[in-house]
Amino acid sequence: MKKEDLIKFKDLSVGHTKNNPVMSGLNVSVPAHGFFGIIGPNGCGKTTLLRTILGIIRPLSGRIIYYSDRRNLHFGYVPQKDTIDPLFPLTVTEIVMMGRYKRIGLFRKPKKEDYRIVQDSLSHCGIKRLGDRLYRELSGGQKQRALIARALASQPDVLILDEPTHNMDLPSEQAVLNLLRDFHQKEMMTIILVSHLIGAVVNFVKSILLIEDGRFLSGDTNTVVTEENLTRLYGLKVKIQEFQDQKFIVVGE
Amino acid sequence: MDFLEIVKASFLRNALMALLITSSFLSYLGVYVVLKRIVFAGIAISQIASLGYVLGMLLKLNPQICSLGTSLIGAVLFSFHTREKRFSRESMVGLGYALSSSLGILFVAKSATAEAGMLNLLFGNVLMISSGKVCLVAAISLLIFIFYSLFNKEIAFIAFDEETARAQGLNARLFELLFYLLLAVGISAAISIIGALLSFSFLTVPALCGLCAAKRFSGVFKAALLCGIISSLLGLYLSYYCDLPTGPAVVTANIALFAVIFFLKSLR
Repeated sequence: MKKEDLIKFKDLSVGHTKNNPVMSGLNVSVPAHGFFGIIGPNGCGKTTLLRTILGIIRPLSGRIIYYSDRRNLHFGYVPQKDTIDPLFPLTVTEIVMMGRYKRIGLFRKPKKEDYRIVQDSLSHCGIKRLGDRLYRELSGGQKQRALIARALASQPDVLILDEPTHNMDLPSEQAVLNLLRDFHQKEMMTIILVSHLIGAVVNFVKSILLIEDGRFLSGDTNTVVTEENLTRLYGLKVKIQEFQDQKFIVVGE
Repeated sequence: MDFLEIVKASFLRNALMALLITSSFLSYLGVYVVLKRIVFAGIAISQIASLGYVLGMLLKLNPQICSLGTSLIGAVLFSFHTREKRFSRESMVGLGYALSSSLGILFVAKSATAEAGMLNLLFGNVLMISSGKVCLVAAISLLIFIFYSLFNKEIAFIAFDEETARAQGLNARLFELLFYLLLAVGISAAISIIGALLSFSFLTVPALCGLCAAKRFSGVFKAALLCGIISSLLGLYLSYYCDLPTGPAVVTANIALFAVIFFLKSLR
């Protein structure tokens, strides 16, 4: 394992049953302080891979090697916002405070320092004024920012996001991705982002894992995301056009 | 008869205490039951507790201990997440409900005394409650409130977003199991005193009142507790004033209170 790698998957198989792994034979490294994208169609096992990295489920075979002790590695997790139940009348501040619970510990209540960190996280995400609003009353983009703020409040070493731009309009999608890029550049935090839309994230992630029908491609984004690779991977004619240093992926002739 | 007379008479005082205590902890637990969308699991656990009670009568064992035992088994089973994708956890709860209902009826058919016990379990007889039983439910209530005051933030996090709570390293499975076990203990104790109908009413209606009346999460619990207490007092008073069975009178007061709150909230 190279020193600049934070996490390494070695012959990793993930899934819920050994007889039917959703992904197998994965050998990929996540660079420390990198912005890593996991891209693949719905149902290819991206979320299962995330859950395995987070330790929620165990690998079916193979290993996940962490550069530092796993117990000292704090993950900030941002789930898909649609999985959050709108029935709960919780304010944004209450939800962001949940990010502190692990650090606060059992039997203890939040202290002034925790409230300060929560306020800082809200400020980082540009939603300080929404602190007293109910989460369920927010727009899709605001909800996503609240969940990112909660993950940041846990003061993570690695920020992991599952489809953060899912079901969002274009301005909200770009705002969330810009927020993540700014945060990555300023704080040098390792970010792992899962998406099923390569076109939406290709200009943001620095390294990438492409998954398609049990096949993988991984490495530096500029090296991996080429017309030849995408055409071979997806079995479709793919063209990449560049405009003002931005890549645009076009499918078809 | 005025309210002071109810408080003065010892059997009525016991009934009042039992109603206030059971309504308090069931209303509190009920907020999570409603928010976690496991209302059906609440009914199924009460049915499984009833099965244990009847089984105890049939086997000439202590019915209350048998009731507690079966409800705890049900709670453990319902707390598990199945990897089976062909059917949901809710369908397993349905299966548990159907099985316990049918077995309960079969056991009643084979026991001479169980039929009266079954009717007692359904509607309860809060006026016949002894001081010892009041102390028992008070102890159970205390246990539940201590648990929630110690782990309130973890339980709320897991109920709201279990996946992220687990990603943060919280032992969600253990808390889920403890939640279901306490629910089973609470329901099992409550149905032997106030009956399944009233227990289930306390488990759902005050929580609905709280969600309707309060805007904030912490306020929902306070409002639910208050609604449980008000409907207990109102139901018991009406039951004596109009010579009505206590359980159904409290349930009716409970639902009437919800209707009033819902109507007033709709006006705003």
